[in-house]
Amino acid sequence: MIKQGEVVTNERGIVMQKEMISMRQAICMITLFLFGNSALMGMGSGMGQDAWIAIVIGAVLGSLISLVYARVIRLFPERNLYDIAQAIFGKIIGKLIIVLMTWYAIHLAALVLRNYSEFIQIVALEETPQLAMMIVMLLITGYMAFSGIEVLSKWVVIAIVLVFMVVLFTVVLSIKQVTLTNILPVMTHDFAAVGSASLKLFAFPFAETVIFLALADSIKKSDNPYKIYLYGIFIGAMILIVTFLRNLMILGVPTLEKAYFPSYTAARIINIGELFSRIEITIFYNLILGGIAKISICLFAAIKGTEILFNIKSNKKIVFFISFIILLVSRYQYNSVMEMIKFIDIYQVYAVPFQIVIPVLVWIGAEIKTRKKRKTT
Amino acid sequence: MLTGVIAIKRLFSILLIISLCLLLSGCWNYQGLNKISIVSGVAIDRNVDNHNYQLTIEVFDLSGSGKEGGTKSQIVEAEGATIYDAVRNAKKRLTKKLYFSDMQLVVISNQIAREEGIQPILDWFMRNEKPRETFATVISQEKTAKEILTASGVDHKIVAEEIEKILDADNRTTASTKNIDTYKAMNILQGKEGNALVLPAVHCTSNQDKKVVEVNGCAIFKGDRLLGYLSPEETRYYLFAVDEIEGGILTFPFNEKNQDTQDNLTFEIFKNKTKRSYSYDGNRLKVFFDIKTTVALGEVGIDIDVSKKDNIEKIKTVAVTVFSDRLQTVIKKVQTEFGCDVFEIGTMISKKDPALWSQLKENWNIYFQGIDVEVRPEFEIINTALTK
Repeated sequence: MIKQGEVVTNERGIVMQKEMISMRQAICMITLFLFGNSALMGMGSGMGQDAWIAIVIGAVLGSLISLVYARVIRLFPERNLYDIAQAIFGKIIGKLIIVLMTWYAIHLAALVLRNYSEFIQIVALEETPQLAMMIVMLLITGYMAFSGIEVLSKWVVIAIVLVFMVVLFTVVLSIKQVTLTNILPVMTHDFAAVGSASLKLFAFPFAETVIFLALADSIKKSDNPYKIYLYGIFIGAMILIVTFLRNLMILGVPTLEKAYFPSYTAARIINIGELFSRIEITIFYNLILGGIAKISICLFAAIKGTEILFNIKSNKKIVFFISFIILLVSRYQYNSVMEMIKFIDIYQVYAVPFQIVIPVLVWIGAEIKTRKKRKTT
Repeated sequence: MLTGVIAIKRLFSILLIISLCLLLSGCWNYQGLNKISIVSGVAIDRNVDNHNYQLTIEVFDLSGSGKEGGTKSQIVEAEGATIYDAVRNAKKRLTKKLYFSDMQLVVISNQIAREEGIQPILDWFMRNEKPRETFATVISQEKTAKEILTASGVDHKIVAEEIEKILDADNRTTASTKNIDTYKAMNILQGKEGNALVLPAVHCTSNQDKKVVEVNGCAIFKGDRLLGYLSPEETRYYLFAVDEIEGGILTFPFNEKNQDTQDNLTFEIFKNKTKRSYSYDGNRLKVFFDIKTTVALGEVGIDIDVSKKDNIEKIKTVAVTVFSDRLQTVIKKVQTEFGCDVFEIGTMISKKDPALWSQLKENWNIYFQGIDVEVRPEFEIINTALTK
């Protein structure tokens, strides 16, 4: 186990330090991670104008489960989920948890990647094979993984400024097109429907922040993990609500519900005079920035898991390997965009073990372990 | 030795960067301007003989120099079983591929709109990624939609652009037709608020013996089927009711001795705000239109001193009664002749009182025909132009 600031030499004899990220960077990472493909897919969930309520409830539920994640980090500071699992449950069960969580990270990266390649194919490059787009995107995220988490976290801070600016820009520019009354009537859907939609939004994207447990060894002991999670989810939820309301007020409920990629459709409509029209390209790169952040973070988590699983020291060799698995999973998991949309329904069940069961088990184990330790010392 | 290695490494990475620029800079299927024909507008008719769609596509003609008289347009005709089929079939007589991203107008023949509905036609334009959702859809009052696109514009050589520009400025200048983006029209068609769709209507007229296009009121729909038209004059009052007036002209008759004169007073509208509200007492619905309009007296066809306060008051009284009368007549006409809610009353109720709306929405179209309406106009005359 490498501690913060500890000087280590790698196999080539070059001195390297363990990479750490600051609290602000961690918050930005969570925010951009949440923005990621959720802004792309629109968070519509069939709730029409009431979807923002579902987002709020989803975010609250997400914050609750994030308290568990944060508690685990607090109990085992500067160690990641894989280490913690092995320390608590021993080699065999620990390894099982590592395998499962690594798979989840790989699969999540693949899902996000597929969202983007479908999106790009539908809106822009119809005849370009999706495989080509995926490879290009994985080249970037692979480079990110090569550069290390410090580089990623610095990049995220820059990217998030761009993302915020573009969201603000589109909100301001859409003033001529918005119909404020599109938000009315409030709560025409019954509570059960809104509740189930918010569960969907809990699983995607809020509880996906479980991935950050795998990167927790880069969070300094002095930083408050609760603050990181809650601020991150709060800012992320705010920006998602703003995006959703912008889309709703520009498009109106029927068009919003019909569109696969509402943010993009909304940006197509924005038009102030002849000057500020056709600004969908800004939204386009905005969404892609979010996607790159999310895929990179998942890639990091998968790499860390693989490292620990097979006892590999340097992550550089396995970037290609993991990227290749992501590419394959991504390419072959669906046959069409309809299946992709449908999968969100399955996903909320599929994700339960990774988002709730394993973290809660680890948390309980961690509580017991630390209590025992305290007693013996 | 070491510097040599670094130099080689650098060279290699520069080569890599250049090759990446070449590889990653574009899409698989690059389309240059010389390989596409930019579509400005499409007119859709039904071929009666074989029941195919008949498309008349107006494209920008970029072949000639743009100097003499601006860009010209060309007409391409095509036929197919579906819209997409017809669009592709056009390629049979073209070397270039049609490019729809700059399309501004779809003209639909009134026969299709009346008999088949417009939703199946608009689907491709909304589904395909190329046409922008903000194009205008208009209904041709001529026998075919083709006649509109093959006529000419007075200002522009490109008819689609002419119509689009006219529509765009309409509610600020003449208030004689409805300007609505197609995605909003689709929202109305797919919405559950009992709204009826209103689209602009276009016809051909003669201007110096040349056949030119003109907007001519609006077309009223029930679902996606055309029911009938409102004249430009009626459309103006309709626009007052739905609060879409930003300018335009209002005329009234005014004569102290003889009440039945022709319209001889003209108001120029500067600003308008229509507030709609309703009251419901358990079984009867009453809708109020509070219309506050700021106008200037633009033309007085009678010899009175309009700088005098009591004369202005008289004019206002006449204006208020005549205006309420005319708006009531238009509303009555829509209620009895068409029986569909073009005034967005259903939307208003569903937003303010969802519970009441869920009661009413079942038989909304029938219910709408019996609604009581009260019009309460209020004019503020801010000037009388240059003369007293």
